[in-house]
Amino acid sequence: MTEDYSEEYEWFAYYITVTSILVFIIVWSLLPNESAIGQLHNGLFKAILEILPQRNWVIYSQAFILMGMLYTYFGILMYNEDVLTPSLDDLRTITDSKGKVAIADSEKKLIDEYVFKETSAIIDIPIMDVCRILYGDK
Amino acid sequence: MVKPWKRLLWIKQEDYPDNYTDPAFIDLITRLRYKGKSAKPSNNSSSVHQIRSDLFRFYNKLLNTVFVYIIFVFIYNYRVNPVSFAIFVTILVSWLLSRSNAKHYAFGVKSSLVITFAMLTLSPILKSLSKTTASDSIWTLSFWLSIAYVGSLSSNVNAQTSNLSTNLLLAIVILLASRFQSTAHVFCFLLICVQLNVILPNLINLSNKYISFTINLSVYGFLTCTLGWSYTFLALAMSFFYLFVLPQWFVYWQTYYRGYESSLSRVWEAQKPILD
Amino acid sequence: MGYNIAMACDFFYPQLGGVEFHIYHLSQNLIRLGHSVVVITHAYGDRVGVRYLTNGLKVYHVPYFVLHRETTFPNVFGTFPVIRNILLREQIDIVHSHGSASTFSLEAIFHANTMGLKTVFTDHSLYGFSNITAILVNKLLTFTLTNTDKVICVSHTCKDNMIVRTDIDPRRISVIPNAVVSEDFSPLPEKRTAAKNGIVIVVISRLYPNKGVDLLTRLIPKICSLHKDVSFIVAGDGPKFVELQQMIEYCRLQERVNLMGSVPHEKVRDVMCQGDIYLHPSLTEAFGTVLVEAASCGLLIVSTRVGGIPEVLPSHMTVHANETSVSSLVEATNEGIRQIRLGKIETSSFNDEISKMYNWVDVAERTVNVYRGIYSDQTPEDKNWAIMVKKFFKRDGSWARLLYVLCAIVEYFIFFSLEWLYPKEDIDLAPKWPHRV
Repeated sequence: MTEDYSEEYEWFAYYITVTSILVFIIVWSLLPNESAIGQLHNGLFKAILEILPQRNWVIYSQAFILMGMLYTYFGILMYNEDVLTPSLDDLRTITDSKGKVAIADSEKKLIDEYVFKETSAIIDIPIMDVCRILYGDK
Repeated sequence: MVKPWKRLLWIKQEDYPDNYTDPAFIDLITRLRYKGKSAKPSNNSSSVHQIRSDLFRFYNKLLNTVFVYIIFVFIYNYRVNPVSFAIFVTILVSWLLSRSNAKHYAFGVKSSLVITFAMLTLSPILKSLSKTTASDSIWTLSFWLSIAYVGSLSSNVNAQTSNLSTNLLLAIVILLASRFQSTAHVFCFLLICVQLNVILPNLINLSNKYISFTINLSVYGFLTCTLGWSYTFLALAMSFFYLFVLPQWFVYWQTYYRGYESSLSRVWEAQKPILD
Repeated sequence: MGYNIAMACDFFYPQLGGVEFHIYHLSQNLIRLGHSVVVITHAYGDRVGVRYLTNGLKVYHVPYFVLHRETTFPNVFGTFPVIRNILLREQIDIVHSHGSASTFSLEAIFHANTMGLKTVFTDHSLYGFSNITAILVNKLLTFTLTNTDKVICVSHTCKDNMIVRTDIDPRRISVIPNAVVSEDFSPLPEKRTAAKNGIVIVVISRLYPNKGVDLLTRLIPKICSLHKDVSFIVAGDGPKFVELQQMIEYCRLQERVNLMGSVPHEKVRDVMCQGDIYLHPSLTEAFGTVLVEAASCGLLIVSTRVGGIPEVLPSHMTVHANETSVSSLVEATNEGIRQIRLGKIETSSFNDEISKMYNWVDVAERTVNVYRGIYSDQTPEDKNWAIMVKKFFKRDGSWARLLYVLCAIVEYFIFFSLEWLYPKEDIDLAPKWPHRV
């Protein structure tokens, strides 16, 4: 019985790669300085460390990603609030190019056909009528 | 009398609540989950065996790639003249080619002539390609390219090698060749590497007992002669890990980590269109 | 007294699609049943702020950074301030989210759980396990659904998928199908006579690879060469449009195939009514609302047998292809054409039958049952933070669960800072839409 494992190998390779990169980064960033341990930095070990970029970079990039995330959170909050949000007197808060507004000849017809009745198309109720219905009797 | 539950949406099944679950499906996943938890990796020796043989094929492919570096070291460090070896490899490959069918042969001759002349024309250019670059940068670059090459090799052992991996291999070879002093060396190096790594794996089975033994012997022998026993020991330990620990780990991963979902996955995945 | 319900989803009008209409019709029918509903979605272009739709359905278009294909930037905590404000302002009891690829819906559930509200999630699609996107969505969903009270799936296949994807108790998942407004999808008053005019096959679909367009491009020439009186109408747009065009030119089928491009939603019925057979070559489908719509228009359905499709319609309305192959689909189409020619099937009764099978009133009532179920099954510890963190820790892999716990704890910190920055007492309460007197 031979099964086709080729797809599974691919996933296993991802798993192994990610796991070993994780372990490697942890080991690499926790490695003591060259001056502290003279003996370890010899031979093969030294050769590997020389091929890799400078060790500082791994610590820099970790700090960079962490702070980047923090700044992104605040950046998005501010972008949403200061750039995307229109001011209260902006026309966009009342109507827009995509909305179809309910228009009826009389108040009664509007109430009968739109205010308390669902339509199968999506139709906006004009803001004036909304205010009258919600706050009219106050 | 309660009617049996049906797996249909268009009938109202008053006797069953909306959160009723298909009992057949519950059975199925309970069985799969149970299998996942109880299966012991070591019991499943047949699959471990198959996985090991698949990994072994990939292992031989990797060792075959190491020849690029071995030949490079011979030419660059030990000043060995590669011409005779290049002729030997060419004769070997064309003999192997003529043994396979005639159509294949004609095609092979034509395309290899084109490639050979292209390499011949390019050799002087390649020689001076990285003259102003420090050797250390070349070593580092070729190291990362080799990692990328290994990553690009298909996990499917029967699949054709992809364009990407062939190109990466060529990039490594060209990069290394640009260190040589003479045009003849560059040409011979390119010729040998292309024949060993691109053409040869299609003609012979690298996992064959004798061929694999030869490859192993030459790689480890070379390692011992040049770098010493400690490196050979390290490499052997890694190979041991790869060939004996990794298959067990794979089975363990498949049962405990991958879960039973992969075996059910086909049901919900977009089906493959059959375009007959 | 009804519940105060908030529907949260990235996808809503002005975008048009299955999920969007589901939310709209479900909300309208919940209002009809005496509940109060608001919809929370992100801003679409200049449609920003609050809109009141007919019947007093209130929609919050929150200004939010949109990342890709109308999905907002996923970051777990970013929506908390604004969603908390809306939930408090509207005095929401139940947050009902839709769609697993929508950031707004998943984050809304997480925040609502933190605030101690009841939560429901409806899933509309199927996900596999063999690509990175699906795996990430599944992880995110596993995280979100840990403390969600009830889940609704649109078909049994979708439910099975959900059980495996997120490993939650099957009893928490209900199956409630989609519905159609059968009045909007009614057949033409006088039936077109297939024998006189030839048979017309309609295809309405976004032209993406997973909708089986590759099958379609190979099927059309075969059917056209087999039957001289058959023509096609293909409506929809997408990356595969060009391939269809090339096929038409290559096979010289300009007379027989009408490529319409995308059709606005309100015109779909008119297009469907021009045909006798609706062909659906899709490769994946959770429910297939379009099949129900076509059947409601009185068309015979020819379809593949993928996902939830076999559950949706009775056998006299459909011809299924057994596999997703061209030959099998051709066979099924031939069978459909034969049935239409013989005039054996009475398609005019389809509309009535469909309106009894799938209608929004029924869907809304069943959804309210689910809401009631939350209250009858609840325990005092459900929304206790310590218990919720404990549940997070019991989920998923060894790394993922640590991340889940971390997210939960950060969320609780944010909750406290929001309580301090914008105290609950300072938030105005919105007046509710009055009921007709």
